[in-house]
Amino acid sequence: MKRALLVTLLAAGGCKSGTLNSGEWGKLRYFGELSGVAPVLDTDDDLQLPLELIPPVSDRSGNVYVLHERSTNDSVVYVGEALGGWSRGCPPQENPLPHRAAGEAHVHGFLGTSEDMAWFWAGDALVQVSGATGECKQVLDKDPLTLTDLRVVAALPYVHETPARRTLNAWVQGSNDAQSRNPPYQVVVDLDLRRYVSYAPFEPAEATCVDVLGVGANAEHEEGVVVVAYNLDGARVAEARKINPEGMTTDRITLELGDTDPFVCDARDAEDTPEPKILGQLQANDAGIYAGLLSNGQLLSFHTGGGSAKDLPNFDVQGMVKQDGALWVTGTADGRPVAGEVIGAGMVSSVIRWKASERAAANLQGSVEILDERYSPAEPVRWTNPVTAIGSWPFVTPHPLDVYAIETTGWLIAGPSFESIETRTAVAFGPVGMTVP
Amino acid sequence: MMSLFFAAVSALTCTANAESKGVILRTHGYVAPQFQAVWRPEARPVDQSRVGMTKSKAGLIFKGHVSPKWGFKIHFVLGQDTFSALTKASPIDEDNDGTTDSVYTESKDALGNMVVESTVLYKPVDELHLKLGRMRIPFTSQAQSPNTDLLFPERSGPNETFLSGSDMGALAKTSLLDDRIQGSVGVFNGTSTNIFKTERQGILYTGRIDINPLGAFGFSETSEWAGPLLIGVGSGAIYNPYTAYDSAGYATVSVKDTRYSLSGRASFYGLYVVGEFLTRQQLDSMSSRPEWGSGWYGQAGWHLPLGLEPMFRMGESTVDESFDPQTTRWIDLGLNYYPALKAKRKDQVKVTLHYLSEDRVDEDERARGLSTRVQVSW
Repeated sequence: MKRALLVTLLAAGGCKSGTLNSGEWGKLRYFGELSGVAPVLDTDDDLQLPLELIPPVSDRSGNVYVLHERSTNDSVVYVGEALGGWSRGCPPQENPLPHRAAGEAHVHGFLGTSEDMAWFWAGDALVQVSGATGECKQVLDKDPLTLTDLRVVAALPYVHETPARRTLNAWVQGSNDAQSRNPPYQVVVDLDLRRYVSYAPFEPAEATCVDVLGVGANAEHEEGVVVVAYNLDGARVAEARKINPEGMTTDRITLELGDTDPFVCDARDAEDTPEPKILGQLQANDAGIYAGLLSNGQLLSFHTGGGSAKDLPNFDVQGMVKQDGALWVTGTADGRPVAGEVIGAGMVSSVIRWKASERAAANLQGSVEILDERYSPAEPVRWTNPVTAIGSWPFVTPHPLDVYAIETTGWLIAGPSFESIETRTAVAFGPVGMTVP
Repeated sequence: MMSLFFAAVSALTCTANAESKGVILRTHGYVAPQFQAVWRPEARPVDQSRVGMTKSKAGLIFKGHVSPKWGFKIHFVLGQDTFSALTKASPIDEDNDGTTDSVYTESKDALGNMVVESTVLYKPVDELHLKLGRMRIPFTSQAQSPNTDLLFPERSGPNETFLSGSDMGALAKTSLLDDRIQGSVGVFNGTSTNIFKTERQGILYTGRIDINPLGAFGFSETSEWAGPLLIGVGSGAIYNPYTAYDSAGYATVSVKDTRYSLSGRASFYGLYVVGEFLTRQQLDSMSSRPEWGSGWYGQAGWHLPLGLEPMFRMGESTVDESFDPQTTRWIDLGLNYYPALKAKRKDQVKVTLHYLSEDRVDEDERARGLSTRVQVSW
């Protein structure tokens, strides 16, 4: 009897299992051929464009979302159903943002997921995509009252979800105002109603030449953040603004980004914004320190007391990753993946080798079994030496990584390429165990 | 519909017991109108307050034997499982551009599953009962409590999170040593686990054992009015392997859903205490993303003189622990009043005053409510 009771107690305690080890890949799911070649195989000599992909995300039901930026300056989102099968890819028909600089990303990133839905910001559109059907729609295409064509110039990557509603903060403006770089409106978007439910004008109202440099969020603090630069009283001001789920600006942090001379932004002037843009999204550690990579190769970090752009440590910085409340800057040194923790008020500690990234890359060597899910029934195929389809090493990206499961994220790998009108590459999704460093 | 049901209930109460041509039929039932007011301050305005009698129920139970070994039981409940059914949907093209801008819908309240239990009973020997048909799976202690014998108007939140409703299947029950040991094993369709949305096929296996070392200890939460100390411990398990198929009919994923429960109960001169711990793990052949969940609750009620019974319950459940934990916490307080202590059963008339609270911890949303309920059973 004692033995039976002990077995029962152990069983009731829940023997939890089923997660992946660091660097171990789960089932790899081949969903399509996308235009471009794997970034690590792209050379300056060839005429091929690299695959423009960001890390995939998953929703609560287990559906997987893959967002691809096409060479035609638009995007396509693919949905992998939790229990097998993929959507054919949905283009949300967005337009590029006005004043987009050459080389600047068109896809700004995923904003959040819910039970069976995901939202992303691409071009001038806030887009929802259904995990159940694969259908995608622009959420704020037109002003519901004036029918003005709206441009989403910032969408904050934090979806506030309660049993009753799902909301998100964004900055929007009419297409003419966007062209003139006039101040945008700060709105709370009801993602279920697909319209904004409150709005506030930009402050200060006399600001001109307003440019959004990037966005980020700290879900633990239930806040989003937008980094903006504008002219005011004959000077250029750069700020990070924290916004709560009610759409209130709770903090304005002055940033030092270099030159403070005012920017002349004639609507017909094609000159690029003087400030560097944020690559991917800003992320925050448990201490409330935000950090992100800038397009000029610097690191931007800030906290409530202020912030500035800093020169990067002595390695090739390419990404940011957050795990267990700590924020790490990632990249390569001597051709190997490394990571350095963001400490103090935004300094980066000495870097160490990122073995999980190395293991994940090593586990793709040789003949790898892939489940071809492009058609039903799904069939296993084999790829020889597939490589990461994002960045130079697995997990190295300036976009936040999805918490797919405990110490597991989702990633994309590239298989064989095909020549047609343009080079297309077979791409597969796979869950992979990840630890930092 | 409701009035028809009450008329039928009234007619049958006049012939609560009937015996003809060797069939012994007993009819039981209950009517439980309930007024409930719930506030959700963080919700949309339309959802912030809900006041009404939406939780009212009425039940009718037919139970009988056609021979000493063969019997049956049918339990209907009206009001337990209602939903808003879509009755009309039409596309709206607001700007006449040929695309659908919105969809106009109309819906009406409809009844879901009215049958809580519909079983055939076979009793080859006193120690073994076989049940076939629709029934509540005896996974937890509370799942084995009849609807009318619950301490609070509803089962605990964690209990309903891990298994709710009834299911079609077969169950073998045994009772040994004067009910000191009770056990059951069964197979079911698995529809009550809330995972069968599309093309999925599988079988749910279940088993439970309850040990009552000090003597027979029933699962009624309100009927222990007096008597010496009784204690009971029990554990239940569910194993539900199933296969999912795609729209073309080909198998895509095999899934294994496993759930455990562990319970402890005690009663002592009117005091009844029960606590349960529940856990769940689901693994599949595709995702490498296990689904883990756990929960617990504890509740107590104490029969005092003058038919009063103060009661308290607290519970918590966490789902999706392996990737994005969502915790819900419940606290219930209340008072039962039994005004008909001289009736055949002291709890045949029960008036309940109940304060309920539900906190979605991770989503930062709260609900608070009050309810009053009068239950008359016969």
